[in-house]
Amino acid sequence: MKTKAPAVKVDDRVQAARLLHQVITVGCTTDQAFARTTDPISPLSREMVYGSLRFFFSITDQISAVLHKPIEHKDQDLWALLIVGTYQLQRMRIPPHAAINETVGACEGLGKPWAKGLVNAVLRKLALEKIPERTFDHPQWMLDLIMADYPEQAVDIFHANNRQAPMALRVNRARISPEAYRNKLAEAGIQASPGWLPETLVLEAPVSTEKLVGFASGLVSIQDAGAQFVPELIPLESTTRLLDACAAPGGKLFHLLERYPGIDATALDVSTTRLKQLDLQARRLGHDTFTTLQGDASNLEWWEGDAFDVVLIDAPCSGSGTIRRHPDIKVLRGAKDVKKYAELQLALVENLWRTLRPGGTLLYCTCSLFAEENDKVVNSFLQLSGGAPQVLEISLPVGQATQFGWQLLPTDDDPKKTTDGFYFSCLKKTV
Amino acid sequence: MAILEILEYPDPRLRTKAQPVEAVDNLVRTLLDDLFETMYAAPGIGLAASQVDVHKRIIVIDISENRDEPHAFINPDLEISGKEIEAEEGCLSVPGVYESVTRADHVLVKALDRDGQSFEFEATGMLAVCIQHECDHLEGKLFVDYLSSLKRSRIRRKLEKEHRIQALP
Repeated sequence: MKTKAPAVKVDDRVQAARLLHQVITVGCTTDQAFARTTDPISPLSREMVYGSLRFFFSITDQISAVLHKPIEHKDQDLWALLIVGTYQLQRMRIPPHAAINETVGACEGLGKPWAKGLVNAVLRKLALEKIPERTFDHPQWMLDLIMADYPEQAVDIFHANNRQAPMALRVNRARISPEAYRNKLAEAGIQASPGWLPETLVLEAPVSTEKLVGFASGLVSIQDAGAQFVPELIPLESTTRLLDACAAPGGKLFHLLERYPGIDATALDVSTTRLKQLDLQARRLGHDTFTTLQGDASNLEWWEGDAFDVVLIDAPCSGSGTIRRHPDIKVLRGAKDVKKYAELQLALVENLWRTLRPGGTLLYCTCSLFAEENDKVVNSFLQLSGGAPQVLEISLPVGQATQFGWQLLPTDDDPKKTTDGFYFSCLKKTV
Repeated sequence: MAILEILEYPDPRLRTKAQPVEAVDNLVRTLLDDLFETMYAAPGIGLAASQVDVHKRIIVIDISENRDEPHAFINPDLEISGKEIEAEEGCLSVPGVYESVTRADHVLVKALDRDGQSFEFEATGMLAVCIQHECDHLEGKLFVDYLSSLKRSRIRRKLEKEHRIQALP
C-alpha cells in the first residue's frame, strides 16, 4: 500500500539546513525536528545535522568572525546552511570545492538564490582557516558545571561528549539467548562485541532497525549499555510489586520484565502519547503482564493505596549524560533548566517515597552528569526526611562511586564499552 | 538484499492466490528483507509478496513516519471487527491512483514471525487498513476492486496507456 506523500528527493544540504534551523531557531529537539519531516531523511543530512550541533560553538564563532553584519532574523535558515556548510568543509571527508559548490547550490533549494554570493564568500574564507580548539564546543554554563563537579575529568568528558556513541543492543533473554542472537547477527553480516552484561551487545557500526535481525519480532531492543545496569542494581523476586514511575518509552521496565519474569509491575507515565509508544514497544517485545497507568508522578491522584516493594524513578533530566547521542542538548538547554529539573526531581522522590512500603527500595536514576540533579537531589531528600531512608551501597564494573550513589561517565577507555552518563542511587525505607 | 520489481495493474499475475508458507527458512527470511527494502525504496507503507510475483502468504508493513516500525506477517489470518472507516488508499501496484475505500477499523492478526514463531497482533486505524489491504493481495484482490466498474476501467485504461508509453523504445 502507498500513501499520498509526494516522494520528491530533497537535496541533502537543503534538508540538513531546514532541520538544523528547526533546532537552533525554533527550539525543537533533533528528535522532534526529524519526526515532523515527512520526507525520508538521508543518512548524509542526518550526519550533517548531528555534526553541526556537535561542533556548533566553534563553527558559529568562526562564521561570526568573517561575516560583516549578522544574518537577519528572517533568514535564519541561511545561518543554518552556513553552519552545515562549514561543518562539511572542516569535519567531513568532502573535498572543499564540493562542499562549497553544493552548499552554494542549496541556496536555490531554500528559495534564496540571492544569498549565493554571501555563502560562497563565507565558505571560501573558512576553507583557509585553521579550526580553533578553544571552546571544547560546550556552552559556558555547562563547562563551569562540569569543571566544578569533575575537576580532574572535565576535559576528558568534554572530548567524550563530542564523539559518537556506539549502538548498543539489549537481547530479549525471554525470547533468545545472547549467543544465539549474536550468531544471527553474524549470519546477517553484522559484527557485534559483548558489553558489560551478558544481554548487552555493542555493534561495530550502527545499522537501521529495518536491517537489525529480529527487531520487528522483538528479539532485541536498542538501549545504551549504561541504561542496562538497572536490573543489576535492584534484584527482584517473582512476587515483587514494582512501580516504574516515569516509564515511557519503557526500555528499563521491559529489561526488568525480561530479567525477572512474573514480577507485578506498574508502568506510570504522565503522557498518553508516550504511553502509546510504550505499548507499541511492549507488543513488539511480547510483554503483556504489566499494568499501565496514566498519571502525574508528582502527585498521588493515580495511586490506589497499595504500597510498592520497589519504586524506580528514571527522572526527567537535562540529559547531559547523553550529549553524544543528542548534541542538541548543548544548544537548547540552559543553566536555568537544570535548576527546574532538580526541583521536579526532588518533588518526585518526596512524593513517590510515600508509595513505598517500609523495607522497600527506591532506585533514583538520571541520565545527567550534573551533581545538582544527582547527589544533591538525594542529599536534599535525606535532609528533608530525617532518618528513614538508608542509602544502599552500589558498585558497578564501570564508573565511579559518589557520596550517595554511582556515576557513569561517557569517558571509558574501551570505546566499545562506553556508556552514556548515568546516575544511580538506591534508597531503602527503614522499618 | 535486493530491490524487486513490483507488478502493476492490470497484470494478471496479481490475481494469483498465494500459497501458505510451509517452513520459515532462510529463503523466506531473505525474501522478507527484500520485501522491506523494496517497500522502503518505493516508498510505500506496505507490500505483499504477491506484488513481486512471489505467491506466498507474506506481507510487510511500516506505516510510521520515521520508517522505524517494521511489521512482518507470515501466513496472516485476519479477524475483522470494529466500526467501518473510510480512508484514501493507494497501491504500489496501481501507481498514481488514490481512492477512498471503506474497511474495518480493527483487526486481530494471527501470523508467524521471521523466526517461525506464531504471534497475535492487534491493530486499529491506518495500520488495520493497511493490513487488510495487503492481505487482499494474497487473495489476488486489489483495492480497485472496491471501486465502481466505471472508475476501475478508467484506471485500467490509464495504466495500460502508461505501460505502452514505457514500452516504447
